[in-house]
Amino acid sequence: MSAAVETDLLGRAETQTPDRNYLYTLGRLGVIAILVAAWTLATRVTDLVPAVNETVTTLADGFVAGWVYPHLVSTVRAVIGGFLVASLIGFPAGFLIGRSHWLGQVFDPLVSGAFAVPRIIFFPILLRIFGVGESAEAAMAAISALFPILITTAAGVREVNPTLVKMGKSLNLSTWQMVGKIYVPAAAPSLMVGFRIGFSISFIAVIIAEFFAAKAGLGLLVSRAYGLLQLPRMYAVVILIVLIALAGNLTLWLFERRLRAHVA
Amino acid sequence: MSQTVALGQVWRRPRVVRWTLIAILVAGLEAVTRGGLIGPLTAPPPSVMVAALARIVGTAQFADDLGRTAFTIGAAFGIGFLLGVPLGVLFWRVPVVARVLEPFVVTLYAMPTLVFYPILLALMGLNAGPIITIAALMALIPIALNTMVALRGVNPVLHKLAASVNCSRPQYYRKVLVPAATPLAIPGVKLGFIYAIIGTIAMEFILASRGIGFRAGFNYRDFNIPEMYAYVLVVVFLSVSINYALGALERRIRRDML
Repeated sequence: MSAAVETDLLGRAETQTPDRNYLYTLGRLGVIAILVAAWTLATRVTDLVPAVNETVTTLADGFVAGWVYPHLVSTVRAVIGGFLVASLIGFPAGFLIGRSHWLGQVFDPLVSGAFAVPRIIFFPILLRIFGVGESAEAAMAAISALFPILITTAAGVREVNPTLVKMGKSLNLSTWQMVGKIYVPAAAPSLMVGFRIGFSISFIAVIIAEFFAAKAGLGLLVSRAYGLLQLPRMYAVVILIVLIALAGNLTLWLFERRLRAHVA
Repeated sequence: MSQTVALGQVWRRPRVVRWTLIAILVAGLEAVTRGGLIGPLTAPPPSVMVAALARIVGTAQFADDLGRTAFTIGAAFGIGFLLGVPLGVLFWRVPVVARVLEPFVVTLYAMPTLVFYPILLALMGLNAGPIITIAALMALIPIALNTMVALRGVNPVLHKLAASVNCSRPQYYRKVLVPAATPLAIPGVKLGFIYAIIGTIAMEFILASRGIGFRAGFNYRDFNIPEMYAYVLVVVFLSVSINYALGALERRIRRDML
């Protein structure tokens, strides 16, 4: 499977050439232009949508005047804290469940059942335990990101070529050597998927949690601006949230694709 | 002697281990809440949660909330399905579109789509519309992507066969593509339904005046802790059992059609 070959609708292989990639980039920029144009059009139609330039100026003002920083810092701290906790539990647990057939049988139904539950429903419980604040948001992120990380890790470990495992055993590698030299390199693309999805989900969970109850955070900023009908400010923060999600996710996604091409 | 061996095997059965673990957790929670290690404002004993649940289930309000939530989920999934499948077909027929939109679709997954809620609220008004829109958007993505992947995975021989027997375009879609792609597209449909549930409950929780998700948040703010836990239990029970039913349906369809 080479990454450069795409099949067209009749199943024929279609090779990508660099100048076509350039066209795709152009098309993507076109999509962004269409979105901005639609926004401009919406501004003309309704008073509830502020103009593009007004929103951008408000966003810039947020950084210049500084009203955005405390909220941005609070959100980022909660996301990183929650993501770290989810990783510390999720990667090892996923590894164990992926490696042991028996543990897989015991925990797979629980994990796939938990995946279907809207995690935000546990937020009131976390608020009762931690009180309103960053700890509750971080715990929310940890609970949300844990299962996706665990599932992708277990799936990645299960797909590791058994020959590699046998080779490691025949070389009498210690458990830690098996993890470091065989499993992690061979499952790297899946681990990276878990990393990316875990990070995005932590971010989403924190924003949603902040909408419900928070002392600070970008989600709180949006809902507060909405309550006060400060529409330019609300749109500015929404754009900031979208940009953070976009930048973070695309960076990790590109890294993941390079890693996949490297391993394959 | 054979009996002791059999007993030993029973104790190692995954199902037995799993339920034993769950029972130990519930019993442990009952013990620490009754013992006073965890205060009643943090978590009531599980038996009190279940009692609150039993009180709630019969009420007219519960029926109203459940009906509202079920309607919202159904509408969101229906819209997501009706738009997602044609979008998947488009992605498959015109791969350029798929390539151009790929980064946007990938980030839509990573986007807290609910930040658009106030915008939709401003545009559509305070009704079920904004919730349905966001939950439908969440359901649409996996359905479209899986439809595309399923159609790409259709055995190339089938395309040639259809061409050689001079299939008309509707015949080609109905008799060749639908049966061949359905088993592969089903996981995406299942995921779409789960996302419709997650989106609906989450949106109800944040901003709604009716529905199961709203009621959990409402009871939190009203300090009705056992009721709050009861609604959490309702959501967990409903989503896990729907997921299980969809899984069984998926296995059946794949077995019958693959």
